Amino acid sequence: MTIKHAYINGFQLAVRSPRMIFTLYFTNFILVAIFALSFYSTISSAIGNSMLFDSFMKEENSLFLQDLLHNNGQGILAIVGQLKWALIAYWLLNVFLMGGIIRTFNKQKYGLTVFFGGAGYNFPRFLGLSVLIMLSHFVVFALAALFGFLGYTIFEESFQTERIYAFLIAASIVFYFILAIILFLASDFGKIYLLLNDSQNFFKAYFKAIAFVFKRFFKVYVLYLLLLVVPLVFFYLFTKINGDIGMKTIVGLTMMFFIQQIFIYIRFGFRVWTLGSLFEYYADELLLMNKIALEKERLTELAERKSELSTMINVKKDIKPEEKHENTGNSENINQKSVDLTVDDDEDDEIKVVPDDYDFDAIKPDADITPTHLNEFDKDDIDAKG
Amino acid sequence: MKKFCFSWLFILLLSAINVIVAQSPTSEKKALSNRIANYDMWVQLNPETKIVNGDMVINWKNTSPDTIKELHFHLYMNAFKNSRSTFLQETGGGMLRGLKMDKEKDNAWGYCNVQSITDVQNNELIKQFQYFQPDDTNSFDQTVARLTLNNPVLPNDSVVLKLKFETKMPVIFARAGFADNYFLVAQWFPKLGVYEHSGIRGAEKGRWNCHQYHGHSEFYADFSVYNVDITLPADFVVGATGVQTNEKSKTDGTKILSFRADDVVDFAWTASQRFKIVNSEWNDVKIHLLLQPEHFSQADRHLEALKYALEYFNQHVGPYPYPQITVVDPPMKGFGSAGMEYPMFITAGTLWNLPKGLRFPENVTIHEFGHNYFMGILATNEFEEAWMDEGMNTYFETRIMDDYYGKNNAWIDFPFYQEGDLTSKIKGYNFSDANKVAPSYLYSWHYNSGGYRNDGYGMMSYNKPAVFLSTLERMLGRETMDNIWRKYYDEWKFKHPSTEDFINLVVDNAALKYQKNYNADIRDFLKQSIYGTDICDYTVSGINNDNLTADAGLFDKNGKIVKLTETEKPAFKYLASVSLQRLGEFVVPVEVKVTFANGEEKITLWDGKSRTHVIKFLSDSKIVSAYIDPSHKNVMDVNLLNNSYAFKTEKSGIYKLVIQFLFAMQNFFQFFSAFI
Repeated sequence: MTIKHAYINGFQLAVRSPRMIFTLYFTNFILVAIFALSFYSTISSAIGNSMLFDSFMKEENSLFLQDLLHNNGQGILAIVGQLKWALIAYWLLNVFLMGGIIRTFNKQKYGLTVFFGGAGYNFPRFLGLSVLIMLSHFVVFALAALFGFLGYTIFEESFQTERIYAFLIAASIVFYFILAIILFLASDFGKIYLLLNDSQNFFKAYFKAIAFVFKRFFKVYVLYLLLLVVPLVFFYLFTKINGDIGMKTIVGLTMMFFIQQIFIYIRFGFRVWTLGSLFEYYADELLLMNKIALEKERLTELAERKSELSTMINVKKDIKPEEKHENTGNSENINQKSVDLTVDDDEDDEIKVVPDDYDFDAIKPDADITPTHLNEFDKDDIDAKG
Repeated sequence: MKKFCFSWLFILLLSAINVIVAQSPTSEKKALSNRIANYDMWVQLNPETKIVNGDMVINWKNTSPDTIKELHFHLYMNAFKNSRSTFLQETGGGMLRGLKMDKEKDNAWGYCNVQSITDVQNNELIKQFQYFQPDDTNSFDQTVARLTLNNPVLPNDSVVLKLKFETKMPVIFARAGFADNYFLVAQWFPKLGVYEHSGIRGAEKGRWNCHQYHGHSEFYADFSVYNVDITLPADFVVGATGVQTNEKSKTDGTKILSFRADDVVDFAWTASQRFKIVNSEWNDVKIHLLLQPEHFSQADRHLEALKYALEYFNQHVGPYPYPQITVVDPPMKGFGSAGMEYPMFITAGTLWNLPKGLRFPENVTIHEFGHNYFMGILATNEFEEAWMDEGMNTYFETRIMDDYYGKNNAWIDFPFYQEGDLTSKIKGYNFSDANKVAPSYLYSWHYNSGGYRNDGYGMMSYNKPAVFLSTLERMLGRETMDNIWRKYYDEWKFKHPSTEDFINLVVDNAALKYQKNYNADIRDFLKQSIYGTDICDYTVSGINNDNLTADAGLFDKNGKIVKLTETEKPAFKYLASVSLQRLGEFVVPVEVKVTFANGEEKITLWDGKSRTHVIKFLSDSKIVSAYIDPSHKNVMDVNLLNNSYAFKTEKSGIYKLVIQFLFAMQNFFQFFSAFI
């Protein structure tokens, strides 16, 4: 599949998944709203009967905020202290929800049973993978910091301006994000792998996903960067709208509240779009590999038959062993040819998204062993090829 | 020896001509100051060794009624001579403004060594030149020395001395020194202290005022005329106090640049091969920006700020008397020399591609330029009364910044956060845990942390004066305040005013108005602010609306006893009252705005002296709110939340905060969820 198709298909998946996006948005909103209410309660209590913030809507004076923080900072700090636990809870919740999203893509229909069933079923293995990914981010971050620090140590004496330091910081950030994007991709591909293969081995999924990214590096990387473009444009537009409308009146405040929530909702839409595009891309690659596997299987079978036939003919003609050996060589050539036809034997050996002994008939209806729609598509495709 | 004598005579002659020209009423510009200490210098910079070698002729006038037997000198580069100097000790072994001295670096240390001193009789006086420590008992400190004269200087007489000195510039971490081939040459030559005769700054009898070099202060000097010839490699760009009068190329690849500065308290200069020059002017004042190439795109930011500051000071304080101002932009490695002030010569400071929303270069340019007035022209003693130098200047910095860039966003101006310049100063003082650690009036080296995070010097010398002067301005009105500043300038320009001089001037010019408006003594306000450590906090502690009933009982009325009952209609429905409290020790009159249910508003004045105070009203309408200092004149109040009380408050501000919090957290959570 081209990245263009993956991009468009992902968008279509996102557009077709408003309820799923809403689920993501709603969980985010509810969790944060609990803290927002607590925040409201704390600052309402702190401000009490004071009129200091009466004109805050019209004129945002940071002195008043500083005064509030200085004289009543403990309560607000307590909320901020609690946020870290909420953040961890939200992280776990997202791991949970990812299982639902990918399963929904696979089933091609959104339903609470499908979504939450998939979320629950996939949670343990997705959690393992997410922990690996998180640790990888730490490692990559440390590498980027080390990169920056080494640069600083090397250039400290030889450069007169701070520009080099700015470049070093920028380079470290870019370095981190270049690697982080690989991890973002591997994270999503890894989850898709786990689900499509119904594997519990998240270590294997992690390395398979990383390998998958590197083998199609240019394509998937460009796809991911393309997926970032629209959100960035959207973010710019939002800041413009925010600046134009402002929050200086009740109407403006209300409008901005809804615009902000729409923005958050759309951000989740972008997340689903990204995941959808990657799913489509991966699934298509999987389909290709399925075909390759089947073709290889068929050719191997043919070669074996041919070999058997040759053996039978040789036996009949009482052919010498040397000539038989020659024929064996032919058989290997056929195998080799079949491998060549599949383009990437290594990939088959290494990726093993679909193992050689893959049994399509053994699919359990309710388990995510194989992509349902892929399975059907596969069979049609194979039938058509006859 | 003979050759030496001739050269000495020649130098003396040149010097005398300079002094005569400088002081002559027929000189092209009239002397603005008494020009007590005058310096002619011939110096050479060696960029390799970081050493400045110099010859100097000093002409010092005794304007006092006393006979002077000794002269006191600053030798401030000796502060960088070793780790036992008072400066290094006070800065924790070489740590100032977040920068640390790299003592391991080659050429790290600095010094100022006087090699010879001769008088007009050609007597060598170097043996009579001795270090001493007027501020502490640190015998390692060699930043001050006294010279015992062979011939005392009689009143209205002068002494002329020739000095030969060598100054090694230290690696820059604080104020002056070198960074690669960038040099900021300040406090670099043997410089005379100030002889304060009886009456000057409260002196009861004549005294030398010549302090050691301290971690927090370095300025106090008499007005002078400087003629300085600087020899250095031809590829160096130089900026200096004063105006360049000549440039001469030499065959050995060096050049001699001549500078002259009149009526200034110091002379500093800079040299670098990397400076890019931007020339501009404001009215008749020539402006030179010496920028690092990587900061060249920020030239307009500096120029705009500087020109506005020039205009502002001219309008609100007094005319800028010098023909030129040079702004130096130090490189990052020499950032320790950023944000420094010398007459006609300041250092700013910025970083490559610094966002426009962070107005550091503008702020530092305005602040350092302001020092041309507060310390430069109004030559206060920074060591003893730093608030008159840094504090008054910071007050004007906040005014200029907030007036020009916006009072809510002058200092930081990003879409997600804005902060005004005065706000930043209020934060620094009002909301600090250490805001009672010391008064604003204190010798700069006497500040101690008392266990707090900092010793309070910055807070008390910069922030607090800016805050209490802003309060005074709001109480008196800007026009009256500007009148005070103009009078202060007119009366004290090119002199050495003291705190008491300023207080007296304010009393003379604003006491009546203050008395009339607030029924209080303005001197009380100033004394508490400058000499005290009390903080200000007033609060509305409650509102009561008691129903009134008619008088009941037997009353004498026109010789008859009349019985009245409670059922009669009372004259007023309510006895409404507002209870106020003074929580802090600082006493200042405050306005209180009381609002009634019928929309009526009354503003009353409370002298703020008693601990509690109740304002009562007989009214047909209930009080719904009370607000102490509703127009926020008193920016010294450390708790603004408790200044008002209303039965019903406007919640929209809280909703706005909550919505902003919600949105920020939603985004943050969502961002964090990417890492799964």
